[in-house]
Amino acid sequence: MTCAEFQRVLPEIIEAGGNAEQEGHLSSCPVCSDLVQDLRYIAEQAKLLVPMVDPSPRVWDGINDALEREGLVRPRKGTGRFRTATVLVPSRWSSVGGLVALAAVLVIAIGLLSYRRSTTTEGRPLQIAQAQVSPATAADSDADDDAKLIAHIKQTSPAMASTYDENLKSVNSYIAAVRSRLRDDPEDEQAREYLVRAYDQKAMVYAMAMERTLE
Amino acid sequence: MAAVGILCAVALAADTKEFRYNVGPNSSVTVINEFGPVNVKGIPGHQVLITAKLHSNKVEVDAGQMGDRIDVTSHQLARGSESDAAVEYEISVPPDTSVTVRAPSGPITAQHLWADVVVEGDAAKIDVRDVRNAHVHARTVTGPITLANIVNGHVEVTSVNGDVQLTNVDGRKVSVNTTKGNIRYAGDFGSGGSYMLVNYSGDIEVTMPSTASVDLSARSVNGKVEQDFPLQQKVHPSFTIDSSRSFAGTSNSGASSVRLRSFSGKIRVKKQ
Repeated sequence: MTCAEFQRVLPEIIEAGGNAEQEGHLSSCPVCSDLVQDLRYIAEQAKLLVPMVDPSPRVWDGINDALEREGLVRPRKGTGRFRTATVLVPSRWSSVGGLVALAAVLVIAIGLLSYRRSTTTEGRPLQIAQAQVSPATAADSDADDDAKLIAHIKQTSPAMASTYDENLKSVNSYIAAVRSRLRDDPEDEQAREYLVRAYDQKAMVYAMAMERTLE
Repeated sequence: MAAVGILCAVALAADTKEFRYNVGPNSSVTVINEFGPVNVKGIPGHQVLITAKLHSNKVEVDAGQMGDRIDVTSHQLARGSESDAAVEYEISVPPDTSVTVRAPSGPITAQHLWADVVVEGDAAKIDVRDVRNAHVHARTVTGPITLANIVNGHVEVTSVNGDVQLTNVDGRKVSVNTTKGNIRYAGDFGSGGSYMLVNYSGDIEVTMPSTASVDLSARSVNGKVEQDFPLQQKVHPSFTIDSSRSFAGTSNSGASSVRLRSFSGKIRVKKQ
């Protein structure tokens, strides 16, 4: 089983587990294993999100539409899963903390979506220039989320704000360099693997910042 | 048999507190300490002993036991300097205790353990050694991470800017991922392990004995590779070899898979 075949059935695997062949691929492929780990992590973190920061329905619709376009969720008539999603969060979270948490999930989701978009669709290479969400849009969104995160750290742990700021910049440089490589050669398997690793780094920075600011 | 925990909090001095808990097998201890070191050591027995040295009255230690789970948290009572808010922990646990430590400033040490170890610190210096049959997860933003003498571990190390040093880390799966941190590995690779050392711009250096049994590949997208270790070239490498940017080969029976990947850093493999 190839990575492309595996990733086409990823939603089912995340929801219900895979068959023997899929499990076999999962255990032998570090790229897909990391991807599944990231998505499960996002799902776990999403459970912690806030009701008090209830985003506009347009946000959920946008995510849902993007996931449907990617084939990560099946189109559903009427109310999609995100439209009816209920998000729970500890009451001690501040609204800013909630926004940061939401931003973290979104930035990782956007990153992974962009990753999928920049790699393959139906097993064929896809030019990033053809993507419905451009890298520039994703980068703008990332920068906005990063700014919110740093602003929140400045409030809660001022001494660490510059450290997080510098390290987020390092990780963003990493992501940008790999993206550039992928634009030059969308079939570069090695670069795809680096991109997953780079987003792992970003996810870790967000996770650690959130843990710190919520304590 | 469920163990019954007995708390014994003793004020040894105005600024030092001691907590003792009796625990059963496979218990767990979680420590959260914003400022100050946390040192954890496995010693035979059935007791968790926590000694906390508080730097001021602006901080308190909240410790409790629920079954075989023990949680310890430092709480700031009032705003003060980092020094005022610091607590120094010395903790001894039965070796089969799972340990989780989050200490952003650190340093953090953990040793002589046979169960899972999770250590996290933003800028904390982390040192984990003499651990076996365990998951070992270490992550920092800038703090350096050292792992030594890990036997049969499932190891995951992640840092953005911290250097990572591994010495004799043996496990089925060993993964190191950094952005700018250098990665150094010294020692043997055990048998049947899968090692993946990856970074963006830091260097990767592996020093291993001639007895090491590895199936090794090294690739740098934009950096250089250097090989001072005799490897038998593979007839069918899994990727096209560019001698300035990659190499691959086996040593002895190739029992452990070792993959070294850097986007723009230098990779060097040499003989111990």
